Amino acid sequence: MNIFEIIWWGSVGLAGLTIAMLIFLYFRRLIIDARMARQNLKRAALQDYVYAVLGGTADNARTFTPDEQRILLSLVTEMMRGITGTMRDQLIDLLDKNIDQQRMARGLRTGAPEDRAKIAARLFWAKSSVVQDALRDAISDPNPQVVLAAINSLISTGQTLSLIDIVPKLEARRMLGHRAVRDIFRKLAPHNAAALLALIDDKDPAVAVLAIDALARMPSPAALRRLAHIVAMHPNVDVRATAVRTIGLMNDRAFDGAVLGALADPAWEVKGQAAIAAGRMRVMDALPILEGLARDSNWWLQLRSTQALARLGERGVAILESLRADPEHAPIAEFALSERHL
Amino acid sequence: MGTLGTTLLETLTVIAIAIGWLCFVNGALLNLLYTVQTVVAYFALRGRRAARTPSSAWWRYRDQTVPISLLAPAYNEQETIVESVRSMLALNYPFFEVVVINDGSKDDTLRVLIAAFGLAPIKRAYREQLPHQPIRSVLGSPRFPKLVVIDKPNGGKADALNAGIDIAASPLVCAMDADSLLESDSLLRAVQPFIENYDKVVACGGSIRVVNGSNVVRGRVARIELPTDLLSLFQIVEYLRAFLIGRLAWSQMGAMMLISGAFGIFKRQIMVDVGGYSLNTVGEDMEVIIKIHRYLSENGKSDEMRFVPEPVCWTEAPRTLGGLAGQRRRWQRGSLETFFRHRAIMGRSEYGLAGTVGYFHILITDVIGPPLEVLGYALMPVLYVMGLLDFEVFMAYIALTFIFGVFISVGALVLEELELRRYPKASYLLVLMLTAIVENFGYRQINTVWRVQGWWQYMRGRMEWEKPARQGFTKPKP
Repeated sequence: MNIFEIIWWGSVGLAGLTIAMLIFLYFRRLIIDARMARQNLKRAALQDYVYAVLGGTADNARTFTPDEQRILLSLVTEMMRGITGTMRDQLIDLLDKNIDQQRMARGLRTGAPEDRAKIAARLFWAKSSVVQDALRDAISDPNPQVVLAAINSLISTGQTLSLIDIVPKLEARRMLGHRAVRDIFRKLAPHNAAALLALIDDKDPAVAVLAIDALARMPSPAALRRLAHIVAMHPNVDVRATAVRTIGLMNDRAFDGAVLGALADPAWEVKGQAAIAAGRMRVMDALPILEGLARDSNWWLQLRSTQALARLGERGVAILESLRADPEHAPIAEFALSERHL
Repeated sequence: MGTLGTTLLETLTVIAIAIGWLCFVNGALLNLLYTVQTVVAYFALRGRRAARTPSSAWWRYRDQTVPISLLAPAYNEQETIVESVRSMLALNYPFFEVVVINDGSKDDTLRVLIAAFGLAPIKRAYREQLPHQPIRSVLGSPRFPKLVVIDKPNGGKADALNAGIDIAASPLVCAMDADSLLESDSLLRAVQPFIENYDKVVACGGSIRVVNGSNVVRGRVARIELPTDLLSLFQIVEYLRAFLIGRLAWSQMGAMMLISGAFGIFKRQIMVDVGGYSLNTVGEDMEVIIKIHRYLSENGKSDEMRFVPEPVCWTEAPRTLGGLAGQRRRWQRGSLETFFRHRAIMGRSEYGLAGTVGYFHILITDVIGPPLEVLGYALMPVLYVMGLLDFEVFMAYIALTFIFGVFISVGALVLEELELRRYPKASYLLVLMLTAIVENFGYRQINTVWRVQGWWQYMRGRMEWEKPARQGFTKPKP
């Protein structure tokens, strides 16, 4: 067989493959659409049922198939995101009576990683001991998504978790940089005041950053003093930057000095956060430093310092106006002014 | 005389056969390239880590985003400008501004904008770093603080974009067409490469899709639908093929040679460094990418340009043959201008993959590809009828031309359906499948003829912009 015959017969094969692909794709899509249509119908019927239960016109103890339970769980957990008060309690009661929690707990222990994560995330309402035990076990799951979902569900059901216990498990799965971990620290902060103060000295800067960030939720003079010390002394840039950011959020004028000191930090990340803090705390002594930073070559510093200047009253705005007259810095000054409608 | 005639005929025959073989080899090379691209694109799509929904994109990226200035040059866009600007202002992105550049429109573009957004002259200082026509006025509105409109004399799209870059206040600029609609999460998704590696990435492009037929409400594509005219359908498949296969594969291989002018994000500084868009070209989007490649290589940098398939910019495709022909001729002239202007980098390894693989690709697809393809269509049947070509060679050529074409088009649809599935109904998929087959029998060939006309215009030095007529977006159905 020569090259041309190979091309010809190869192309014939390709044509066959193309037709097969087309047929496969079309029928696959038909099946997907049909399945989705069936699911939508079921979902609509269950939605009506949930509304009827909430309106008091239906009994909330019907028997559902596992598939219906799955849809009901997904539907109600979605609805619950924006609902509080009595209606939320009604929805939790509805799930409590209609969802087979034993089966869910089993799924959480033995399902595939993706399923385990989904189940853990959807059990944020279940207070039964069987589910709570399964969720606590899931904190040691090898899959990071399952761990995060389990911790969040436990927090939602009002469980008090110790950050000191959780941190090694998150650390072992390299999850400390995850945004969701920061939220977990923030949620657990009120019950972990002592733990946070201990964790800000953790040898792992990622843990210290998370602890310092969470401290912003519970301002205290003791915490502020520790943070001011960290801003001045800590060797890690991220830790210093987070500390000055937290000082800004705590907004205690007694710590202006720490912010002014951070404005002279060698790292631009720290200076940028200090600029934000200076704007938030209205540190008027920072005006000349901010004016200098607004002319820095680093755009992020320019942005943050001009934004801070826009918050510092007439004197700050006057500096921005003078920057606006300078063609090189005019765009960023304009941007900062327009953000605050000045 | 008879001998001379015979010799002449023999020479002509030899030349014809040689050209026929050249057409054959070029076709085979192109198809090989497209097949490799399809495979690379498939694995790139499978391996991506895109946020599933707009809200997850928001939660994932909102704290890390870099401010962006959207640059929308508008020339005679009165039909679509208000909806486009509304769509831009409604984007989900933490820090952005919309800079509309009215490039000396002869219609009511500026008046329509002033009326719709309550614009009035504002003062805005800026530094003129790039060449462009003088800015006559800058307009803004307290009701829309993110909107800035520049009015300037006509200078072409590149000129308008340069003016926009000069006035932009953000470290990233997004070049787009004013008649295009960005999806609400498109900036969040498109900025992903910058978030992952801000120091390295200098530019990034997103997908362009054809909006014809879809339902547009208040500047948003409310319902994706298919157009009823065949020309728009052909272009839908064409855009899928170009973006889901071509751009994605080149991005994956590190040799992006084009980021569409309808939707591309660049570091503002790199645009200033390369001197902005070149004014005397009709293919400014391709030209600026090659300029960036050159600048980076010549300054010892190895920065990256990426393509992200998820962010979508919807654009109105020409609905008439005349409009489409003009667009394609212009694109061809743009490619040729860029190719010949930067020919010095071709085959030079110091320019990396852009100078070697990328430039070779432009050579066979845009430079010698169209004339050879047209020659092939004309020559191969004649050679076969005259008995100068074997049946099996002729059939192999037919197979390469048509069957591979169908395979590549269908491949794009397969990628779309398996990984993105943006078209909501099975019937749409069926229509697109049929279109993917039919476009290879007539549409693709006429396209190649337009490209050859573009070649001809290029050789004659024709530079003007042939702007296709716009109908405006489909109004919402009652």
